[in-house]
Amino acid sequence: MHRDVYVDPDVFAAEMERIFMRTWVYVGHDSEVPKPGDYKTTAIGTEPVILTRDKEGEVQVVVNRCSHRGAAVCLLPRGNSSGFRCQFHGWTFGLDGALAAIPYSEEAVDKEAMSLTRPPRVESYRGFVFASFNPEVPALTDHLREVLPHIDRFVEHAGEHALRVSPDANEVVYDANWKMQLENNVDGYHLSFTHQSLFGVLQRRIGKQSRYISGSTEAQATVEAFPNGNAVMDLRSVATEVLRQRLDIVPGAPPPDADLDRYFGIEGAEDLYLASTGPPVNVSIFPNLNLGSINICEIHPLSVNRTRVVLRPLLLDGVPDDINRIRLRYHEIGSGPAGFVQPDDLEMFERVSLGLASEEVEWVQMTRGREREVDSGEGRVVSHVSDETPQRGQYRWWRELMGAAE
Amino acid sequence: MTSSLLPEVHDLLAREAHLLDDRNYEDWLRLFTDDCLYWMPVDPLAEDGALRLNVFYDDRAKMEDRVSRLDSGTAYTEEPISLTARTFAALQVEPENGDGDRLVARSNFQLIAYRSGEQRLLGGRYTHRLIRDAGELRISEKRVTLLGSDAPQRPMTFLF
Repeated sequence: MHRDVYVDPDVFAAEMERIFMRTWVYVGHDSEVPKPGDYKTTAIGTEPVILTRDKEGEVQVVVNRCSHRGAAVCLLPRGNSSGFRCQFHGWTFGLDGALAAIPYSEEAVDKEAMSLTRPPRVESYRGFVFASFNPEVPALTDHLREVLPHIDRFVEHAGEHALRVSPDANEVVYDANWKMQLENNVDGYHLSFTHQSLFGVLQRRIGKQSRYISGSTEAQATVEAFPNGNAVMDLRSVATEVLRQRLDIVPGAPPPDADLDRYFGIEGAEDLYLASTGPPVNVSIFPNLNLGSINICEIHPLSVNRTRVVLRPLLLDGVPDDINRIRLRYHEIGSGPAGFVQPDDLEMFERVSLGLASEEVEWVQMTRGREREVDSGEGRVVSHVSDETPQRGQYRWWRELMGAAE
Repeated sequence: MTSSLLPEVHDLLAREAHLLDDRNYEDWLRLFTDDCLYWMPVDPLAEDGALRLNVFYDDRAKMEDRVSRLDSGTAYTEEPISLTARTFAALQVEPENGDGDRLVARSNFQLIAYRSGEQRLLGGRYTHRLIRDAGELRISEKRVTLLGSDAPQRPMTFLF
């Protein structure tokens, strides 16, 4: 990988145009806008947009820019409203962006042309809403085809209980390129090193060595790259014990010898309690979404060297509050600016940014596992969890979207 | 009554501030009760953090985890460490019960964190709940309401 991919502002500008404006971009989960009038402000690349639910209950995506002189029409991260009113000159718009009224207007206006701009395509799969500014983009389920079973597993990890995204989010910014976070979500190699302090905490609490993976080639954990830049890191065979250990150090966790059915006041509480870790599989959806553990991670590129990351835990409907309390505390162990995991990732992204100041050394290595990965056909490549197979897959698709120029 | 408590509470909070800036975490932990809570809500207006998402929501065991991580040398956001200097002001102390052995102390704070050639200024409000135990005041709850806790932040792995 050439260093320009991470540091060149021209590459960043091209990415916004050729990737974020051309492919599917995740904008939110159904449960963030459950009722008519609910909205959430977000972005598609650097385009500010609003995800809304209109009066008919349909999800809509509109650009957060008054069609008149360009003022943002919505400043809050979320809320409920009957529509949007630009306070500059009083223009009003419906939840679907349709122009409602222009003050002092006596001439006939082209209402369609004066409405808020909408990305031509909005589709969702199992509650995950994506939008695209490209009218020709293939169906969302085609884009996601190979990861659909992994999304299903994520959605069904707590059985019948519907997922509800926490309205509060842990948000961070870092001074490095957005693709550092995209790569990292399916980087099994860094876990034992970048996150050594987490394993130290677990070890101190449980009194024995704690780790996810070893260097052994027999380890069954895998990474897999799919077409369209999507990928998974599957830690099911190795992580279950570590995840259980993390559950044990949750503040306010049930005592080790507690009868869980009595503690939570329901039958079959153990399965629900253990589901608080989520499935140990990270599902990376190009270019801006990761599903892993019990959280949804959105990646927001701000500039070539600045990125915002939003992490929201998933709560469950129809469970005792104590189950959701455990899920929140579990999420807080690692996530956010004061977590025991995420800050150390950001630190490494920024160290890469510092190192890439070197123009003398132009190339970043991303070759690990090239000899042993198995190409199972149709663009699916699987390998040992510590291999850089997913990242090569992400950049194959990146190059496809960017054109052969890079 | 509250005016007579003010110097004692002020001394306790000043002591806490210096222990944190000196990174004397062992003595800092001794200021807290065994069943204490140390937390920062994401939503600055949150009244109760138990069923809300927080930036941190630590019981004593997790505070000890936090300290052990900072002391481990492998919490890389703190290698090299952040130097901190904090001030608090506008301290008010109110009793929480008639006996006067439970107090709530509200103050505003400014925390300067220095790392990698850059000073960051973080500000907000502290709410300390205090309990008198065998004559000595200890902290049963410390709430840190950071301005911008619900906005994207750079790592804040030092203690508040």
